[in-house]
Amino acid sequence: MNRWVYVIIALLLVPIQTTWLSAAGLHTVRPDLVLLFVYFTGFYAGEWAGILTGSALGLIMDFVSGGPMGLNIAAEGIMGLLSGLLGRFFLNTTATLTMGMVLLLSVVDGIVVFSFHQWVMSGIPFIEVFRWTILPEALYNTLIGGFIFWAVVRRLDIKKPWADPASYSTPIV
Amino acid sequence: MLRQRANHRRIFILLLILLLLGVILFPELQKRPLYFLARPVVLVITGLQAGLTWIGGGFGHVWQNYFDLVSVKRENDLLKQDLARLQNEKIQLLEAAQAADRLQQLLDLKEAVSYHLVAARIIGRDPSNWYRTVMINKGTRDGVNVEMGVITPVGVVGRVIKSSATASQVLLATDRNSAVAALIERTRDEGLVEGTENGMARIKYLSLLAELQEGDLVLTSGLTGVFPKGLQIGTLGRTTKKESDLFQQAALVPSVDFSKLEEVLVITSLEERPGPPGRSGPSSPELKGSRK
Repeated sequence: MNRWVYVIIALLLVPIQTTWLSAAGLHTVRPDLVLLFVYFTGFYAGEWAGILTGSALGLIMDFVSGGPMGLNIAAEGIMGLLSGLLGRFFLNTTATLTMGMVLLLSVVDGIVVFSFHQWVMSGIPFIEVFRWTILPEALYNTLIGGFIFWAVVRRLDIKKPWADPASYSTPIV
Repeated sequence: MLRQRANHRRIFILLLILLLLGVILFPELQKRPLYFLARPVVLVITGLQAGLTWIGGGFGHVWQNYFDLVSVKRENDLLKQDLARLQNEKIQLLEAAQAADRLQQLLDLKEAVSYHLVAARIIGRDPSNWYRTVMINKGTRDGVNVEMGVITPVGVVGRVIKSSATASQVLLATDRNSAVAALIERTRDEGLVEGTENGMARIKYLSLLAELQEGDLVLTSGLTGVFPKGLQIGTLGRTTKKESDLFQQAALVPSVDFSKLEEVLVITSLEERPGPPGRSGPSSPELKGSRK
């Protein structure tokens, strides 16, 4: 994908997440477009790209979120790292596998954020948070992640850089 | 041979001229002998004329219909465009009328109360599902600062937690980190309203002796200083009362529909502002009982 297109999409994500996506909310839960973007970036471009993208978008999220500064930088950065590491295990993936990994990553993201909250302000019941926030968001992300894979990744035939035989001669950093 | 044929032709032409002269000079001839000759000829000619007229008329009719259809189609397309435009205009007008109603309500409230208010528009919501916040288009430049209360004509919305020059972030009353000092209108028991995980709210720290009823009005108590006394927060839902607990708590149905917030008012100061005499005080009676 063209680098500028990628940057423009990345910059538009948070404004879309905070405005249009409110209409797509089920009860009080909306899909996390930023997490999905970080997942696909990390999975297809490696953990460093994932960490950088996640941290940068996390910073923007922190500016407009009601949470403490740094929470989203850390959470999205960790998700970028994890998605990059996950990507090392799979050369080619399917929609089902993508959905499974998005589900896993969303739950881990929820647990990371919950742990941070427990650290900062104790007393939040995990069962309640899992029931009303983590699980619905993870399921929503899973559906949207599967759709993005089917509609974008597969259509545009996005592959990992090292999946291209032409890149075999150059060392993978 | 050729001379003989030429003579015959001359004789024929001569006879024809004589016949024409006879017909012209003696009109009687037109009626009788030529009549029998004219009848079949006219019959054939008129038949042909009728046929040609019918064909021509039919063809012309089809041709005309074709042109009519083309023009009807064009007209239909134009009418469809007009209809779409008018429908769009109708939607825009309805939207404008609804916005005008909402703004009128805000203005009425602003006029009714004595404290300082700044109207603001919701421009965004929290990017994560962990916090219930909204972004408004007014900041420090407009006098909006942290810890200011935010309301609508229907009731309490929340308080400002971050503020920049042109925008501010409002923590909604349904966020788990929000706490608003409240009292039950009927019993005057005081408690604290806070948000829950499922996006609703509850009132805590109510006395065990309080006799609560579902549907009781919950108002701001005015103790925290963010909100004046008497603003509606919501109505009581199901009460939870245990013998072993020190306090009782109840679910709260917020009077504001937080998913449909569009415009709000920020209380920039609780000090009484100068205005025309006879205006109602800070805890306007309209607000106490208003349930829209």
